[in-house]
Amino acid sequence: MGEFRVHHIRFFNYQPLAIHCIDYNKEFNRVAVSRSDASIEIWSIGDDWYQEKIIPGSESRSVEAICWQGLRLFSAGLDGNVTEYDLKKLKPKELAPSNAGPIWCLCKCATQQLLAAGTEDGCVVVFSTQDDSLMYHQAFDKQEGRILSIAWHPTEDLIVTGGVDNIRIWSINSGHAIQRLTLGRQERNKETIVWCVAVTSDFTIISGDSRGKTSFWNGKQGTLIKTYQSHKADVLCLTLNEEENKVYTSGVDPSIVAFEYTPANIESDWKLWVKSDVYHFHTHDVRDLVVAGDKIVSGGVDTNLVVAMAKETKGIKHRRKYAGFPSYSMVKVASEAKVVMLQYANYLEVWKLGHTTKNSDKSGEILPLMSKPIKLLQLKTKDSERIVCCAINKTAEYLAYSDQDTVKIYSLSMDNQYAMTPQVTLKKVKSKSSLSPAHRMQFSHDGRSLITVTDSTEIQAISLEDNEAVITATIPPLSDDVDSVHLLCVSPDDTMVCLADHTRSILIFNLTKQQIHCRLPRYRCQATAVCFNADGSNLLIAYADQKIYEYNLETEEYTTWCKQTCLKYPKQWLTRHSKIINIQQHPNDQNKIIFHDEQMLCVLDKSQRFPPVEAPLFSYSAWQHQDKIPSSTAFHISSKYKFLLHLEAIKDNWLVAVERTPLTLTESLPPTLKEKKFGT
Amino acid sequence: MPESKIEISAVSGASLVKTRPVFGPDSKCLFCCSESLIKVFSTESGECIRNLHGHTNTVTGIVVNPNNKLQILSCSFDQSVIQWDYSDGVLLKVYQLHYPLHDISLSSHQETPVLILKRQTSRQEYDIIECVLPSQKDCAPKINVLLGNVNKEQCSMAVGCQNKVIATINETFLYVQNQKKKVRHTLDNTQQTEFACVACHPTDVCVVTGCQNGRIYYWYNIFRKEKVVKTYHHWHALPVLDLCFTVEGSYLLSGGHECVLVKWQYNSDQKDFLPRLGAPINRVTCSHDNMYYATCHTDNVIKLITNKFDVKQVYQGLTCAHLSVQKTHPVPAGLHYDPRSKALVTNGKIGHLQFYSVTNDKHLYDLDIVGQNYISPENMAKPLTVTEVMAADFSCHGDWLATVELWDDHVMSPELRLKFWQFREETRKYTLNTTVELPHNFPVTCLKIRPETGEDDDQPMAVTTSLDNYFKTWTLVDDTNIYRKNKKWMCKFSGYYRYSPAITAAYSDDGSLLCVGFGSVLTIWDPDTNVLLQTLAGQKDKSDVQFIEFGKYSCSHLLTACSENSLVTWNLSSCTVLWNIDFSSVSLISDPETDVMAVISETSDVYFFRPSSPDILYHQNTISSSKVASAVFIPQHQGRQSLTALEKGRQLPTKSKLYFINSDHQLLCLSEVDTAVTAPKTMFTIQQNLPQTTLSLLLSKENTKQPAVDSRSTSKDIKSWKGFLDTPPQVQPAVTSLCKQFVQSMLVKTGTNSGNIEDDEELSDEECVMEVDDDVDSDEDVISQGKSQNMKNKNTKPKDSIKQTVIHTDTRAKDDYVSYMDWYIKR
Repeated sequence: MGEFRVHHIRFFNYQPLAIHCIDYNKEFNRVAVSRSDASIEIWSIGDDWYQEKIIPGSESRSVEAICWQGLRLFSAGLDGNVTEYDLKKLKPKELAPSNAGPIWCLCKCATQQLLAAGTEDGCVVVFSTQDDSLMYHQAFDKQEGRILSIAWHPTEDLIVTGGVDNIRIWSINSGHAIQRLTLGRQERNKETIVWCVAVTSDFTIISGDSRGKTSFWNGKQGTLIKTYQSHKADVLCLTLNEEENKVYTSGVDPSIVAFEYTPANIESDWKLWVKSDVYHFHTHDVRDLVVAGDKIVSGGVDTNLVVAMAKETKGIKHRRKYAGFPSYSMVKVASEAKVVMLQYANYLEVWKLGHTTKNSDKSGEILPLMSKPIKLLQLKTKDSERIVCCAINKTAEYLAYSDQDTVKIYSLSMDNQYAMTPQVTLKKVKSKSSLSPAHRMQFSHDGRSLITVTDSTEIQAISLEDNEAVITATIPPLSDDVDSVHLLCVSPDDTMVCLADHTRSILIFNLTKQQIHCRLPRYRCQATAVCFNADGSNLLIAYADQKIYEYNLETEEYTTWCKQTCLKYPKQWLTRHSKIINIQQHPNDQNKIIFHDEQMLCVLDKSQRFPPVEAPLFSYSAWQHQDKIPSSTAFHISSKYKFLLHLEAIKDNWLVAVERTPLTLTESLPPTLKEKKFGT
Repeated sequence: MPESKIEISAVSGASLVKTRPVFGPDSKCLFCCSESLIKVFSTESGECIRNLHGHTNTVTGIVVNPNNKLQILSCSFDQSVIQWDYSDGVLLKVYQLHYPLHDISLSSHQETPVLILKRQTSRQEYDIIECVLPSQKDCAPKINVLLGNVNKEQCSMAVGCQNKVIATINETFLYVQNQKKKVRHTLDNTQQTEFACVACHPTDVCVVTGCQNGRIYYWYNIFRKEKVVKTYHHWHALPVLDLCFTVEGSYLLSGGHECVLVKWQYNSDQKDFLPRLGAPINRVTCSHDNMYYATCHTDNVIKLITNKFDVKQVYQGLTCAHLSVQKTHPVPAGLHYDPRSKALVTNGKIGHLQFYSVTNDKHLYDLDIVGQNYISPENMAKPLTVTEVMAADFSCHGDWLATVELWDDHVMSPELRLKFWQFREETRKYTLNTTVELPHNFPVTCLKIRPETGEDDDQPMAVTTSLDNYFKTWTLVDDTNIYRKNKKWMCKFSGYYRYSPAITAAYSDDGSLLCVGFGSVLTIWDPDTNVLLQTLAGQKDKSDVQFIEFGKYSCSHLLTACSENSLVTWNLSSCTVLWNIDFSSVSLISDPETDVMAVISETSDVYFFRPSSPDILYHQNTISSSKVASAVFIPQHQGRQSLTALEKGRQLPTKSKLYFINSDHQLLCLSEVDTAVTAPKTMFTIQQNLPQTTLSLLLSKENTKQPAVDSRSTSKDIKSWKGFLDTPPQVQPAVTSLCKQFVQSMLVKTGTNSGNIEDDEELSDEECVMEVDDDVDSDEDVISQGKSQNMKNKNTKPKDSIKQTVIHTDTRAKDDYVSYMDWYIKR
């Protein structure tokens, strides 16, 4: 694998945020996940659950419910508005106020272009979404008590809402409540809150409430069919599968309980709802739960998104856990200056790395530091605007970030670089014209210009001369169906730029000629990391299916190594589900590719054979791991770091590894529901 | 010449709880399997009302005949199914099925009900068959094999879902079958557990299984393997031992090692508990009208519980050691004879002594010695250490009981307690008099109470020996103070010899001598003056003396000691060895009524001998399949039978029966039985009260009309009766003079009005009275006969002991007489 000295950084205290809502779009094959800061993530199922987009949140917005309608994404929150999002620009597109206070819940109509929201004031508000609009349509009779959950009948014009101590059935045509189902209370002065409701086409209403009970109601008669004390605390979410024969519920008690509609008699068709399996995926409150095809997607306060197979016979065996980190790297390294920039939600931190001259023969030994890492500065955004992307040049002279409105560039100068507290001065680089907000940005390798991809997918080249930013080139979107770009890479000679977007197209643009150099063949899934090799002749691409391709820019085809190996990846390698975040060529060895994901660091040696397809590469338990690596094969894996957020090789065989250990994550989570364990 | 036969039988204390009991159709009675018997218990009175004899081997299952609710069908290891009329106790039909049968259930695939049986086809293989019993007499039953390779355990088979589904379990597999389909389900192996029991819902297609880890799994949609729905409930911490649905299936009852009956609401998490049932529950059943539940406990108790969770009846057999902690020795306290209640006394429940009347086969009561509740362990592999009664002894007349209890987990310092219990006449109970904490530093090996000496200053005295090399004698001293009058036990003397471990001790029959065995040396002490009188050593082998018995009656000058591989008799007057044989024994006991002793070898051979000579009076090889753990002679007080047997050349030299318990926890009895066994007496009749049907309603109307015809005769009857009963007994003429008349009057009536229950009863009563008369008459004959016989049997007894023997017989006869009187009064 080669020897490295590692800057092992553990001072990046990025805290993932709790998941609040999840919604699945079947036609789009995407899942939208909202977090506690009102940011929304779009996960692509077709790309092996790749987190492709993040719509940044804002202080003024809150997201209490999200809802797909067709390809449009809506959210509603306590600000009292229903918001539609622009999925290309990744920002809110349209707003419609409820006129009835904060909105707690949102659902769509299966048959018409309508949305219904339940509000704090006890009002059901219907919005029309016809012709790509979003308009207030109608409000039903105002009732006492807030409405916390809402469900639209799949075929009929009925809405079911859950509130305090009751469930109401509303007719859309009249706008009146036609039925009221009353729930009992466990304690006399503690109201029962219906946190979630669902309706089947045969008008069975399923509700979960604050007593921890899951109830099945006959909607036609308004009678209770069956109730289960399925949880020890509030049931916050429930989901119904497409065949309407399975229900999953979860909540403050984080076990996920499945219910099935099963036949109970040999002779008749009599069926009954039966509690079946119980799964324990989460450590903290489960806030939302959704059935996506044959999988259950759940998330909550422990910030993990869990995707589990809902197999029919053997229960759920295969599950994936995605920690709540963004899919792009939040760490930028100024390799020449040995400075790292850490991107938090609304501020940036610039650190100077520690320094040592010592070397060691032993692997894993901790070297004594001659100078400790120093925080040089913390740069807060104005009005706590969320940072979308940031960049720092190699010598740490310039840094730039973009929020949702504009790009801001600063110049950084350090005096007494080797003193204990270096003098840092930060100056804003002024720009004549306004810089449009960027989705991705990178400094050129000579450090004199900044390349950005704007939210309208233009490429902007900004040159920085004499503390002034000048837009030297603006290249309009290169094709019509272009989606937002998520990967940007500048070639070492600063002539080429590689762009990858969510339509799975990767193209290489020649900046000097201002034209497209070439387009890569469209692969079956999205790229998760790209980079040029040292001389800029080849492009390395890591795809979401864990394969690594090498593309030659001159011959405009995949290299022979790539063609030979692309079908030989070991099976176990392809079953991994955390995506490659960074890929890089070894600075001193042409044949080695260094890349990493959250779980492991890997060096792929092109000169060595691939292991057999069935051969095990690693075991999932970390401590057995080291001895299992077959050294003679191309894969060299280390899972020493858990939640490896960034890894970069810089000159002189130094590695910068940024780790966030799972323990520190769980320590910062709120306390869980106390459960009595037998024997304690 | 009527023969008598030596029989080894498990007459007493057979297990009641191996198979699930079955309620009668009207819940008036409960059928239990007790070895080869079927016991019919009344749910009202709690009495055993009938024993159904017929099977020759262990009965393994009972069902109520679906065609006739007055009949039951039972299966047994003796390869037969027997159809009984339980109300009359009549064996109706025997069906031979040629394989040992292990379980029985009912099914109704077709119109006719079908029996589902589990049979043993070879040593290890069991299968499930369905069997249609023929209506004609000679036809063989139709048999159809349903499932092969099933589990041998009880509770591993269930029939339900409108009697259409059969479910069986085997390790981690659940097989379900209806007439069309057979499906195998597997418990997911992540749980690393196995199935323990299974039950079927009576109406819904739902099978419930209990697991070794305490989970209860519900299986729905069982006939579609891919879409089976499984859910579990988890309350039990230890294996679930049995499951049973109530009749409609709205509740599920489960029981296990926690001693708690759990009532689960079907398809819900709601549950009710009946805790503190005393011992692990291994069988649960529900009556047909949902009024009663019956739980079987591993300590051989059946509890009848109403549906409101009140314990209504307790049917108790002899409690055997049932917990894993107790399994090392079945009865650490040994078997004892309580002279007062004439019961066998041994360890019962944990920390209790049980008093068991072997003659009536009835559990009398449990005496709580240690006063600690049983707590179920955290897991089965780590049982909790319990305080167990390690030794007990009764004084001659049962006035005092001494017990030693021990708690030792080999980690903490052991708890050892010596307790003395006094029998209080006013409460008829043993009450605790003295507790001695840590009487010795090491476990007590032997505890004996001194027999009464007959002197004036006779003070009760007891001796304990221990592995700490000491023996201690305890006497009763005055403990009266200004508040109360009391006596208590105090240590009087503590002796040792050469620092060798004191293993055993014995008092001579008259209490004048105390013999303590220190290692291989016997020491003779005077219990009153605590002086070492003599040491008896010089045996060839140096192994520790295990048992000592003083001879009785003619042999009272002799002392028999039994070490690991020799049996020695010493003559105490000359202090010489009388005889010595090499013999390895596990038990040496002496008959309290004669000078005979019995010794049991390691191979379970029993030898009867007199200490005066090494000649064997009687021997029987292999009285038990496993090692005998403890034995005791129990004197017989039903004099008539044994005396007649004595006339006819007995084989056994003693009149007492030899009871012994083996390491398989079976209590067995070696006794002489006349081949002409008296017919089993019917004690009670069962009141019929079948559930009402439309037909039965019609019939009952018919019945109410009928009696008008002979109402006069019956009323007259009652009048004469009343006169008879109302007259005070002291002014009545002798019963014998009235008897004939009375019986005759009865006979006439029974002729005209057959089936009158009360008349029948009266008749049997009358017979009893006659018997009593007979006994009284024959008493004197018996004495003289006994004498003459003893005179004749000179060759069997040494000459010099004749006189003593005669005296003994006299006293014996007196005893008999007294006991007859007792019996008469009781009647």
